[in-house]
Amino acid sequence: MFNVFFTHVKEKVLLSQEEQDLIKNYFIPKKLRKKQYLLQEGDVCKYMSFVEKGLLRSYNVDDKGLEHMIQFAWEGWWIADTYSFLSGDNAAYNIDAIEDSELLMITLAHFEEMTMKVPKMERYFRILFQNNIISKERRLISSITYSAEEKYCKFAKDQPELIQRIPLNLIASYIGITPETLSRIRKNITLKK
Amino acid sequence: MPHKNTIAIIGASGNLGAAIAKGISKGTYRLLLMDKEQNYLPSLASEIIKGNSSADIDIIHCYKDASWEAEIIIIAVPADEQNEIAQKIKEVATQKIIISIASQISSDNDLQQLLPYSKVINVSISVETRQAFIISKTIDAFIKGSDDESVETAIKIIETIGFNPVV
Repeated sequence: MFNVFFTHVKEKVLLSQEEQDLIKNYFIPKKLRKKQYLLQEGDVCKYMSFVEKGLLRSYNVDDKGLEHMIQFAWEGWWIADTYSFLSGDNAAYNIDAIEDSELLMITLAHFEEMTMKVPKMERYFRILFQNNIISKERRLISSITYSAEEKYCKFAKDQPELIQRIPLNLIASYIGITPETLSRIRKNITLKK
Repeated sequence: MPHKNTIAIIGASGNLGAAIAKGISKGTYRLLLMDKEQNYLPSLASEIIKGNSSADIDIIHCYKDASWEAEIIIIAVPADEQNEIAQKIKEVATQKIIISIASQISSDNDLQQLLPYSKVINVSISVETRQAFIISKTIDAFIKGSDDESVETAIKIIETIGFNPVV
């Protein structure tokens, strides 16, 4: 149940068995079925969730009812509305499951307690947050400079397995193009090959 | 589809468990029914859906899976079965609210000791076992728990069931 989690943590910090046992007890293990919500816009994001198994997405919905993908999270990823989680204000977006998923969820109070009792976890999260800043910067650069085809090719290159798992209309939304444009791009790429 | 808290009811085939399931199904919760006697669960589920077509209800065939999927776990089984269930759900019940409902006022419930990292709430109903499945606002349900937020959640659920919560 914690296999992916501890494998992921151990890539960054080494934990003793005692520390692992201590950490486990702070988490809420939760199964989420496909299409079920983890968070809805307007609610407070009470948990930060690690994906042990499955695939989730965060997105918001505009005035016309169109969904805009913000992030995908699969095995080894964390997902939350960080602002809402830290501030207790309402969440600005939704999170739901694309596949049946298994999560490890932690509240802010337990997050603070855990990082206090196991300072190595501070380091783990510091590295994680660094990486997160970098990927947010990259995503911003990509969204303001790259063409639609470049964006898709980069996504496909960075996440080859994910392309198979995520419905194409969601990938299109993540890149910021219509599903029609995406299917045209995919056809062009196939022709070039 | 708005977010609903998922409640697992362990012991849903019993008189008390079935009555609890019927009561809670009127609220905005998703219900997972589980009992070691599973034969009765499909008819209970269809009876609930017949009375309330918007009820969100599933039958789960394993203590652990039901508790894993749920945010809140209600245990309505005889005291001598609690130990075995606690062992089975222990690792998926950390930090979750566990409401143990019994129709006898047991002096000391050690479920919290069996599940040290869960938030155990003990609820005892002031009636004899054979009357417990008659749910009414006039029947007091005595709620005991150490975590205030969990007690609040338990009070809401007890009200949804149809008992009169007494803290």
